[in-house]
Amino acid sequence: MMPVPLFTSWLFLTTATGAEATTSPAAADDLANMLDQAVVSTASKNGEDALTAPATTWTVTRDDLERYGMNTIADALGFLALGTQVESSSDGDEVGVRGVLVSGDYGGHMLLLIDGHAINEQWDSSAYYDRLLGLPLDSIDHIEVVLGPGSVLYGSNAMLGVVNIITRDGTGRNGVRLIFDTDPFTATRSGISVDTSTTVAGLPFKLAGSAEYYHATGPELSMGPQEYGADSVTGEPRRFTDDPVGTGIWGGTINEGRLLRVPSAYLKASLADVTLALRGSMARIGNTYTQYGNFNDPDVWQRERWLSADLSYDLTLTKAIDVAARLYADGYEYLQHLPTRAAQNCLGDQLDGCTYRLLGQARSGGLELRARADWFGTNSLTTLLGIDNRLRRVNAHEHYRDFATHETITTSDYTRTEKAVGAYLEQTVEPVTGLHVNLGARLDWDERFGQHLSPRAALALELWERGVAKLIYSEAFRAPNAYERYYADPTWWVAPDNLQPEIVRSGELAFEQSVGTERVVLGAFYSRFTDLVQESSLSTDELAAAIAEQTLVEGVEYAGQYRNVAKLDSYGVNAAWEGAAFARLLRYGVSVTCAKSAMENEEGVVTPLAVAAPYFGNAHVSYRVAETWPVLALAARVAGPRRVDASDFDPYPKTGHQVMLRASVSGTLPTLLEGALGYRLIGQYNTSTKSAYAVGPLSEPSGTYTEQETIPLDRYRITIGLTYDFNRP
Amino acid sequence: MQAALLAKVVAYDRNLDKRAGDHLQVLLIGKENEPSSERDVSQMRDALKTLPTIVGRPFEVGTLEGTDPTSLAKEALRRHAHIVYLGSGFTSADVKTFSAAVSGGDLFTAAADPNMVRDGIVLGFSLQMGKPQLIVNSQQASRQNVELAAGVLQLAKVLP
Repeated sequence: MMPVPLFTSWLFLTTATGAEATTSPAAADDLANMLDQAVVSTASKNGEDALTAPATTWTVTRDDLERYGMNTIADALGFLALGTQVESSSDGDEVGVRGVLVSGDYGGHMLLLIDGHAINEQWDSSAYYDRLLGLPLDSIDHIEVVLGPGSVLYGSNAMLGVVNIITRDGTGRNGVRLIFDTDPFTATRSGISVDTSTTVAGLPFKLAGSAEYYHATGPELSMGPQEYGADSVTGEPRRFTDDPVGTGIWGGTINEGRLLRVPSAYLKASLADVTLALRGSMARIGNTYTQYGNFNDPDVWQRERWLSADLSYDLTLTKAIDVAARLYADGYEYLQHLPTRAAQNCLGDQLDGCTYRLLGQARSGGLELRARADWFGTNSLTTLLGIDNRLRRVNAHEHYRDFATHETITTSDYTRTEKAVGAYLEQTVEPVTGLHVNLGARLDWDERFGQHLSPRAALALELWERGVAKLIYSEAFRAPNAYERYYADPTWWVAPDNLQPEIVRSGELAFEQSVGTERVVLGAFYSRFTDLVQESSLSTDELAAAIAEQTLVEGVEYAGQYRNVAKLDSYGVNAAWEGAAFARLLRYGVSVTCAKSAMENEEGVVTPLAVAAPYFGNAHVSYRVAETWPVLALAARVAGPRRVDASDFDPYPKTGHQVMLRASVSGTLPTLLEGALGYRLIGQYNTSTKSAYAVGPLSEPSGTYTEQETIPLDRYRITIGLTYDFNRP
Repeated sequence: MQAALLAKVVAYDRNLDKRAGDHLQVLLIGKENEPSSERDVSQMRDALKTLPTIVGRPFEVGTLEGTDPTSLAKEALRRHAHIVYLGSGFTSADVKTFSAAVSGGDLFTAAADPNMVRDGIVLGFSLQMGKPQLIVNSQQASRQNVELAAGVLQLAKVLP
């Protein structure tokens, strides 16, 4: 059964492949080619040929993940997908699309779905693509990447694109798999997966469940020294460690550079047309080199907890009309625990230091109803209509606890209950054979910001056999998140009254050709982002007004506020080629994106977008010598020089070219244990150990500090993995 | 795509030449009063119309509706259908009954619903990893004198 799409119309997709069948080798190839055609469901919430979908889409399969030794979604996007750039920051891996990467957004400008369920949480819009995702890797069937704005069917956050992780449905393998991976001395992953499909009360029942525990500690990292100097409050050398006597110098050795513990589980069960999906995860993250907490202090940490449930029901109402209902609920909690000896990181009288704590929570639930009509039963005229009604409750609490007095001072505390409704309509028509027209729009109404309309128009013209030209216009938005909208601190921050959604408008011209096992994609794009939310300073008059209204306390000399003040233009080209040879034993692919992106800030100053590379891409090749032999695979990803984030050096610093190589050997041991024991060995080499993210308290030249220090990257990484399958068919 | 896949897979049935002459009979069976079944049959009929031939042979498409699997199976055998396609909507018990009734017959069965393969349909279609997948019930194939060549079995998920 199809994992996500509601409808089975993909089964009747038109195909230009001739039906004249024989059993010749050419016919066998023809059949294999048909079975290799990607069917995507994210761009239209309906199964369709990727070639004519109303967006440029890219699919990474579970086979790809295993073949190339991918450990996370970010790995898959960086090494195997078209148009996606991945960068490692202190908050985890960040993903950009087509030259736009918004650093520090916690994934809020991209919509992440698991089986169509939005993962971006409702407090801060966070969604992660690395281990923090909290989805067992073994639960993934394939990943669909939709490049470009996607709010037309999905609403907020789909500005850069939509990543939809489709999970296994229980039919792929039947039995239990045990999993163990290790990055020697630094990380381990243990997991179990269960798959079964059977009949219950005469109805088909499928179940797929995975659970895993990931635990990383090292490596040992060395940073600094950065001679910061005096604490701005005490005038004494700033204290960067838990030592009561400060040195004013930041840096040293971090024993557990990437402390991370992530238990996670995902379960999907379906009985006939009813599907239940449950996800739970928790992540505890050591954050021992932030300048706001004590350096190398194991008591500096963050914790995130996620829980979600999704119950869906699909029904064929009439020969022409399908309906579906989806009931969903999500819970999320973020807790930051930041002890610091630096008085300047604390409140006025907390001279011995304090523990800063920020708690953010979101609970939400909703009901999505949709109907799709295939008026002639041929997919030549279809209408999709849906409404998504969500209720959410967000709250946050921020306080500082004095080390000396243990007195706690609350600086921000809010709770809001909000309603949001989104209604969408998509009309497709094939007025003449080979011309696919897709028109759609979604109207979102949200108590947090008002209303917003997101249209999309796409034309796909089949020029010749399996050759398609596409012209796409689409818009998307990102609703201001609760933190941006409601955070307030009377000592320095004012919550905005009228924060509007960020908006992107994008045009794209693409050409896709599929010939046999080969697929080529060429595209050119232009995107304009407006109303981007940035921190802004209050003017003297605004400051006085805020004090008069008691929004700020007396004596405040500086205060900030989030505002829709920035713009961003991005344009460029992308290209990809993937294929296979020698009866598909050899597989290969390459992709490249060149883009120019520039941000215009509140003052009208235009600068290159930090971290976003002007060109990036990837290449991969793998070879399976024979069915029972190992798969040898090599993947590489490249990013061009890019501006370092959060640095005030002038001219702005850049990181150099970065090439990441990954080689893997994987397979099963058929002569031992009847083929149930699988193995993989992965080695990774990085040509650069400098990331594009500044680290430490100094962001401008100071004394002997003349070059911006950045978060270090691993030069080498090795992963060894084992799996054991019981009841393997 | 399903019609084209079916036409290609049928070509790998080594017994097709013995079973069929120079002409093929395709029978599409839907469950009565079941919208999804009706649509499957309708879409398959339309898709088959776009094919000039199946395995180089001209073909005729007939349709049949009903709820009693035994009667439907008897009718399929009576019409000497070479290829029978079942729309979705039939229960597991229905499919088992139907498959038992056509066992020993000489026909190729396929279904829109991949779950039906486990219950005795020879060929089903599914999606795995975002790509079409063939599912074959090899035991039932033997019972219906269908002998699929290795070339297609290598590309399919074969149920024992």
